[in-house]
Amino acid sequence: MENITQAIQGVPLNHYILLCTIIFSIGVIGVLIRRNAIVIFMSVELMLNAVNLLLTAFSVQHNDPSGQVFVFFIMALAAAEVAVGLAIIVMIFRNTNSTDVNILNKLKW
Amino acid sequence: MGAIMVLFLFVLMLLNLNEGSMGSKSNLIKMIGVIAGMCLIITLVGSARVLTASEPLVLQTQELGLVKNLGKVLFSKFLLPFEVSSILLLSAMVGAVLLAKKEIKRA
Repeated sequence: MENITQAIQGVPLNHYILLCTIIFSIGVIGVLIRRNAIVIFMSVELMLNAVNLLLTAFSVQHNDPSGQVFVFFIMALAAAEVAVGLAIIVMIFRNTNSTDVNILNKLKW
Repeated sequence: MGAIMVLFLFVLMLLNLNEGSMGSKSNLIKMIGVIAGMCLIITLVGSARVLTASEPLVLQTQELGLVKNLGKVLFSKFLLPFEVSSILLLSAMVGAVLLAKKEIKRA
């Protein structure tokens, strides 16, 4: 256990930035190539969590607790967004019997 | 976080999706999406390489992330956003209940 703590404390900031970049890009790719609305929501969630990780890393870097408080707010916002979004998905599924976003393509115009 | 995961699981169970009910994009669109995502990764990593600050991330004050410290900041400096976010959560809850409720037949 002591070993793990030591190892975590030795991780440089650049590695956190790289990890967050990769997670965020996976989220972006997921939003771009999937058509299932639930998977798109999961990808958005992935992007929000990449930003959360980056905020905590920079909070430690600058020795400022405001970053970690911001993570709380982002989590609250994500919870609200997911609750409303999933309710909309349930409603769409009830009406059209699928969660394909292409059914809603008339919303484009 | 756990609440969000449970919400996803509940909706997945509720919808009982089968293989036919979800379409998939054409391969061209998928390839374009992956290329665009790779371009994003390359751009962000390239811009991160400029940063030379690569020293290990050490905790300067040990009680930075403790609940006591965070609570003090949350309830003094961020008191107004905290209260506003409570209203946001309440309105999201009411909205979700209204949206997901079945239509009541008016007699």
